Amino acid sequence: MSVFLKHRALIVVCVIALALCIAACAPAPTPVPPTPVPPTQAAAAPATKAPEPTKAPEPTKAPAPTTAPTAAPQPVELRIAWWGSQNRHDRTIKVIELFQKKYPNIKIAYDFALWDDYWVKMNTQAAGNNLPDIMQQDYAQIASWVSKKQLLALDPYIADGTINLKNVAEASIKGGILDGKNYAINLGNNTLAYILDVDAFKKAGVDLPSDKWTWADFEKTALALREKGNIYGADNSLYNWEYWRGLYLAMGQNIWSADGTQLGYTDDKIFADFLKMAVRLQQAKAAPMRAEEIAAKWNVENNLFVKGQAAMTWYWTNQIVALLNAAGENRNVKLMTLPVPAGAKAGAHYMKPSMFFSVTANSKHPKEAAMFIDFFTNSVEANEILLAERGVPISSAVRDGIKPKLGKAQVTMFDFVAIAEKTAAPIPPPDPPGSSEISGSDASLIVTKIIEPVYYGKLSADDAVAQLRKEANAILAKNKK
Amino acid sequence: MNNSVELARSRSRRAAQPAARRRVALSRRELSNHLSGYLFISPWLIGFFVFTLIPILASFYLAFTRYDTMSAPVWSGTENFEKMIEDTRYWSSVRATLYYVMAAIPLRLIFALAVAMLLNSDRRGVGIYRAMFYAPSIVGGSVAVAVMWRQVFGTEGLVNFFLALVGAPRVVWLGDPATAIWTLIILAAWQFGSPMLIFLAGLRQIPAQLYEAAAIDGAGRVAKFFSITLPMLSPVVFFNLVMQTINGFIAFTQALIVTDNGRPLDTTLLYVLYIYQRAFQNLQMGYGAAMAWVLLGVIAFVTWLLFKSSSRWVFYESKEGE
Repeated sequence: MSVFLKHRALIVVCVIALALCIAACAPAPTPVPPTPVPPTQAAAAPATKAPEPTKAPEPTKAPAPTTAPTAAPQPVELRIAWWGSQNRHDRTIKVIELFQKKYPNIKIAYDFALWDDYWVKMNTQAAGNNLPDIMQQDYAQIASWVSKKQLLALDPYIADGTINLKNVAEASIKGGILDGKNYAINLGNNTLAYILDVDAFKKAGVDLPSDKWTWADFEKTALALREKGNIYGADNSLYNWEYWRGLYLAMGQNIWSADGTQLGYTDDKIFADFLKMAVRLQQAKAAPMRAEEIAAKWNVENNLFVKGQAAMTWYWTNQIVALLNAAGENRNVKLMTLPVPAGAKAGAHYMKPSMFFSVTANSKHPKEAAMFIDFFTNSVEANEILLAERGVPISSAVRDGIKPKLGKAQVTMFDFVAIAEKTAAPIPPPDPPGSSEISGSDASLIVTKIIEPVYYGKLSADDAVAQLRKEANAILAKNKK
Repeated sequence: MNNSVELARSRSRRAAQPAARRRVALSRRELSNHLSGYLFISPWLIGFFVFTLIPILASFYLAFTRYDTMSAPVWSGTENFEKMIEDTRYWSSVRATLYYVMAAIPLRLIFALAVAMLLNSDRRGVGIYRAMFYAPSIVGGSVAVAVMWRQVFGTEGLVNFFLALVGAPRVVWLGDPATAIWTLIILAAWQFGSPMLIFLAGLRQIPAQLYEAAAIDGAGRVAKFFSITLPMLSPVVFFNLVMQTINGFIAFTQALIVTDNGRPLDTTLLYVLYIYQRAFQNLQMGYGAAMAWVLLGVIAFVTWLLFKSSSRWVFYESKEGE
């Protein structure tokens, strides 16, 4: 007879077993899923242990000198991780292969992911003391990683010349320095840019906006593009939290207060006006509805601008190369700085170190990791492969060295970054603890509870900005000491 | 072989001794016997302790702390549980999950039973069909299927393509708060393979003479189904219902990938996805752990309800014989 007909107890047992498994799904300090250490590394680790420098060198203590870079006989295995698009993965992997050819004793295992997944991965690995030797870092996140003692101060390696920063301007180094120590090497300078399809403007018979445009100009332009050219003005991403920051940077304020315990701006109306404008644009079909955008999940390689269905879009300058590669290098584009609100005192954009490489505190081979960062920063050969995909290189020698190799897209970007630098707002301090709940990812408060409900017509813009202030302040209040 | 004989002997010897002397220390041989036994099951034991039991206990502790994975957990009492009450996104996730479970699970079971009845025959090649219908469940919660599903229900996807063929308007399935959850529900219904197999096994246990007798009494197909198949199958239905309900509560991958982090407007923010967002994206492990334990409580309660209700509609053959 069937098991089911007779053994009621068996069902009970099955259910209990399954229920317990659910509890196991709850987050726990054990890393899930544990990234296995490549067996060769595990095997090699004891053998190479002897010449290691101290784990976290004090500023006063010079690191124990390791073997010379060219003559290191022991095989060393490094791990590295970054976030990015396919374009970045391909280029970075090629540079890793080049480095391995130069230093046959060093093997580099790599791991990459999209932005949101990357941080989930890194946080889990940090909890499991299993971070890669080199990790890509972001300006907004770096403060909390340093405060949690996950990163290694690189000053000894800069001092002994392993990482050569002789050709780098002070301003490009500054972003990686916290509490007087250098924890991260900037991989390129970056800023936000609006990208305009000049041919689409011509076809529609709409004039290009002036270089100092306001959001009112933006709205007029986008509406005209829809009316006259039957094309979307803005493409996607009007939901992004960077607009929020930019609006207040332009007014000479920051979204966070200096001590990080509350919002740093006073006039909610500026953000409310922006949200109202975005709603108007969506209703006029000058920008796609948020619902369409969510359903399609456009990215840098397949968005409406790339497909020729929108005449304007915006991206970080380091992504422009990927965007133009996808759109076709022959597209005639103009790069503009972000529009500003009426009465702006500065630009809505700032020059951001696009990203960094950091060596993690638990790296067994910090010297070799530093060598790789130096290679990434100073090798013309490597940068001819990277081609400023992570932003304009910080070394002037590299910038000059790769110039002949630059394609149209890169030249456009280099020129724009040089111009944008002049009107940029001063760089805001890194985001305070707890801010990741408020902004910075699609799952954060400002997207899920403020911007999207407004775009779906479930919440008025005025109520939304008031609610944002209330909820954000409640979260930031925990930073009070 | 030798060992087991000795074990049996020693057991019978022990059984003969008075109960009071049972606790005497094990002899060396017995001890080594026990040890080798544990050694044989050690792979499972280690896995159970390291990957199940310890994380369960740890998560229970973490539920009462603030823990951001990198600094040590800080005791915070019941703060996490109080936070849930005021967290509007939490209630969105509860609403989405209940809606999903109540729609997806009945649909999946009905589908599974219907297909199982179709396949409950001895026609040639029926095995191939069974395997084919089971296939979607093997790839079940996988990322690949979720990605495919996004394409199917995409604005320019397969479903809209067929809608356009019959002249129906295009629907923004994944962007509309009214339809997005249904893409997940349909996905769940489509993955009916494992309950189907269990139904099939149950159907094959029903004695044919019952149907023959009913046919002689003039019962039609519908009457046979409701008077014979369903009551005879009720323990299997019950088993499937309980297991699938639990599965429904812990659905995750679909909402992460198909509807991109529970969008739109958190209408597909399934409970476990919200745990993930809080724990791994906002790094509030304590809050995530607390939510997980509440979920365990809710599932236990729902399961208890199902068991309570079962005496009214589940028929066990052994009981009837009493």
